[in-house]
Amino acid sequence: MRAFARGESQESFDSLALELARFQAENIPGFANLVERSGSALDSAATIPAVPSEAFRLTRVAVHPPELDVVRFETSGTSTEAKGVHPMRTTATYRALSTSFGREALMAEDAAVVVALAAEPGEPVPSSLMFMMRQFMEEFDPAFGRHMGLHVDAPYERWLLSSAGVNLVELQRACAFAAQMGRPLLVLATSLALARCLEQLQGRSFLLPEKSVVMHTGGPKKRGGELNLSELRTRAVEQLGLAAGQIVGEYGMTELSSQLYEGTVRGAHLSGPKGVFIPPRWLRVTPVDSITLEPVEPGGIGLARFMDLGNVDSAVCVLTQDLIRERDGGIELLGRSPGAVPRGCSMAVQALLEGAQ
Amino acid sequence: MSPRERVQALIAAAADVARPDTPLGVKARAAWVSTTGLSPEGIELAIEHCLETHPSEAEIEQLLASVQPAKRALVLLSANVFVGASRALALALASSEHVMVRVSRRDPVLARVLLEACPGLFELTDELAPKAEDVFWAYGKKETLRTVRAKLPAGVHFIGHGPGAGAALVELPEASPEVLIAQAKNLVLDTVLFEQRGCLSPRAFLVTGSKGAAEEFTQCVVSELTRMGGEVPRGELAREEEAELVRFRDTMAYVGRVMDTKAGLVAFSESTSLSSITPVGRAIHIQHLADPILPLARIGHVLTNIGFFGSDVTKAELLRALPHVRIAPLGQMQSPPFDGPVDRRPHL
Repeated sequence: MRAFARGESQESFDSLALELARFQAENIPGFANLVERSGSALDSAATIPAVPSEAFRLTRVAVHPPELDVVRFETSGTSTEAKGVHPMRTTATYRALSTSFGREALMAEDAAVVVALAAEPGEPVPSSLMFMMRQFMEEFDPAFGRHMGLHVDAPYERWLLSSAGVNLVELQRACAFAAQMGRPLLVLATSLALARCLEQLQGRSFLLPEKSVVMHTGGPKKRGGELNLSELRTRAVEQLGLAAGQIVGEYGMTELSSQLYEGTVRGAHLSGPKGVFIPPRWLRVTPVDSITLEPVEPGGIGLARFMDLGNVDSAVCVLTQDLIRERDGGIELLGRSPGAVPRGCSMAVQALLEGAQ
Repeated sequence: MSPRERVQALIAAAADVARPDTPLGVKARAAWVSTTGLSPEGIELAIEHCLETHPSEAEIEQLLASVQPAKRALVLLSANVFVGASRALALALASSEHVMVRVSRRDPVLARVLLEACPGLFELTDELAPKAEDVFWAYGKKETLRTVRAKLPAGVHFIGHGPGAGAALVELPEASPEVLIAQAKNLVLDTVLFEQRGCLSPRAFLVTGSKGAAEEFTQCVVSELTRMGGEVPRGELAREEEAELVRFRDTMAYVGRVMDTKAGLVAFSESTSLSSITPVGRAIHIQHLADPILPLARIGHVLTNIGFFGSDVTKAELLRALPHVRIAPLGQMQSPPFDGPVDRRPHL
């Protein structure tokens, strides 16, 4: 699979997807049940049934036993009873894929100073996002970690969020170092942390070095209301002095091994219009009808069905509750499917699950 | 009229509507087919089991005692389960001789036919204008209730009832086939009524006891749901409801076992905690687990009632852990005693 991602394999996307689906059906009874129920003979990629993302919350989704896990990435789990878990017995594929496509989307130059508006994760890293952030620091920032066997301390903190908020002093130090080295700053953030950072600035400007990039991820939900992502991005561009396109949305989820990005960073390999999230070549995203689970008409809105060749040991095909529309070689994100509006005096499933917190 | 006479007049009106051969009974049934989305058989089933027409004297006494007298009682009805207006009106009539009601546009039927059966018992209005010393009963979504409450003038006694759900708990230490079948039948009845759209409808299904008994019980539920589906066809489902059922089906196929009957879905899994809440539309997920009290307590604030079959010891534990939740025998989840509001959770 990694050879396919590097463009060094003769196998097609479909044949690899089928191979993975058969492997998973042989080793995961739950997936075998789903295949049987769907009536699929697993003879074409289009017939691979998608595993609803809730399965990651309700059961183990893995071909291997728990004792072989090296990481268990967890969903944030803020609004459901149990957290979803994506166990992996190797992180090699995840590392290779996230780094490769992250570089294509975020890096116009070989190196950057990389910081995260996130708290430093412990070991083992519980979240795929944190894992990826650390990976980007290691891969994209020459000042990270060990060189020639010696530990090298960068002259700035990399993990800039704590309960007190974003450490603006250290962010300034990172900026100064980047300017001194002639490198751009790459800021990795959740949308919420970015909003927090801007709130702390209280309208003041905090100009990042030239060619800097801010990557943000995560939906608009926040405690006490909804975050207006468009407004957030406009404010970030203004207050951080970013060039248009240098604020980039990332879409990823714990249940996947691959990510999508907007392709707007000037000089980066990935190119696409603002608001369109482009998948890597090892990820196929299809909007499907929520009842038939068949692809919708071109241009139509449907639930996002991901066929992710990176999910070697879990679920090659995952059905989320996110609504999407295909456009310009990628997808537009249109929010979560609202679910059934309660009739009578019943409660929506999601509201009940929130009650179970 | 005294409070008791007003409530009794309402009950008599409900009894008139409940009969299929009275003009009001015919009129209401015709309207409910379009307002509820239930099948005609589903409507009949709900009238038979859930429209309060013969409460006991003791129940009426308790209902009268559950309210405070007020100069005026105002009632804001939601598109509740279609028989829900009856108890809401009874509570208001128990508290005041001046009752003003604003019905839901989506389901105005029962309040209107009850008024036709008993003119002057209460007043229907498009606009409620509460003032100090009124009691204001409101039913609906939490957000609606918050908005309504925020706009009330000072001195109005507000009583809000929001949405909720029920759960079923079945203890099966050593149960005979007859018991399994009987309890499966009861569980299916609770599920089929209102297609699980009621605030008393079961949405979580927990079974304790041996795995074998739980699996046998699940098979009985499948048989009963299939049988009941033949007698009472499922009503219309909204597109979103159907989509949730599809998702639930595929999730449960992965997580446990799912038996897809034309009458609905039954799933079985072993759990250590309450892992799943079912969507509406005849979806039953039997979760076999060892200790049900804590999982139920965790969703206690959304639970209105628990349909229970089991030992007195467990029942006592439930009552201790969930003091605001009604505990009803299976098969009677949707027909609680006419002794006050169905929902005993603290008012919103």
